Amino acid sequence: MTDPSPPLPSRSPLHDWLRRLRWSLAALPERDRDDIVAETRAHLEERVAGGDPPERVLAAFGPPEAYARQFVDQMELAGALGDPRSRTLLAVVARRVHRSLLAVVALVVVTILGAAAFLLVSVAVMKLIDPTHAGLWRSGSGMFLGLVDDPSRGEELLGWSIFPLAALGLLLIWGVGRLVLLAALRTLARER
Amino acid sequence: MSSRARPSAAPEPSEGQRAQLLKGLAELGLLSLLRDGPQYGLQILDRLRTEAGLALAEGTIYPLLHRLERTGLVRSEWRLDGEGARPRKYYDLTDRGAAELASQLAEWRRLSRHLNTFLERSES
Repeated sequence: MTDPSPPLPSRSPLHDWLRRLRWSLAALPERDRDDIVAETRAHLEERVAGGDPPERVLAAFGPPEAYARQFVDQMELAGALGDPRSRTLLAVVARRVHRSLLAVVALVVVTILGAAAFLLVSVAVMKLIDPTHAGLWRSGSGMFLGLVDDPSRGEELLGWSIFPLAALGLLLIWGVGRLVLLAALRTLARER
Repeated sequence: MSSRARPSAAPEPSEGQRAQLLKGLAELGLLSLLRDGPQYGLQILDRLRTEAGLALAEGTIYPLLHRLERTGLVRSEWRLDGEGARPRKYYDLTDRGAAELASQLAEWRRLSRHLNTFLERSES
């Protein structure tokens, strides 16, 4: 909505605060930005008209940047949850790492899954280049996925079936990673 | 001499815990308020403070209202209440919001009944 109220004096504390609010809402579409500023302005003016000093009314709202961040975060989270691309989910979670433990945990889980995916792809590629040394190995010391120097000291368990299994593993890792990111974002959106 | 330890005072909840609890209660209180009819932000905030006893900060009500509007639980409309009056954005409950309120109320009553039973057991 276009603000229908008469303009505030340009040097008033309310004007300055609202100008900073508008600037901090720059990431939002213009219509949403106008709407939030107009609604906040109506609120501030009504408090002042009720006898509260402008400084006290503004102090109760806090810094406009922090107030604006609540709306920007909401929009970003809602946008990410409606976006089918996993990299968008990952980017939004990563941007919250410095202020959310949940985002840190989600990012650590996704990083571990990413490392597992990288290992699977690497071994599958090595199997194509050097089939006698690459694979899933069993020896006296346990199981091992990767390359061995001496194939006679262990038994390779997968053979060529490593390719469909690696593809299945990658699909599973992608699905679990996406679920972790979605669950984290939904929880963060509820906390807003 | 009794060996029973005297119960220590419960620790004060942290700001974060209090804020999180208030957010949940504010949503329930807000949906319940809008059952009375469309209301604007300042009016909602003041009624939640005075009638529901929720110590909400001034800047918390609009992000909550916008989130509820985004999720389809409330809808909004700018109105002029009279000649020369300041325009106000009124919020109203949608059908989905009414269903959500019924669900949250049922859960709140179930929880408070269980908690009361538990607390009265410890008192007796």
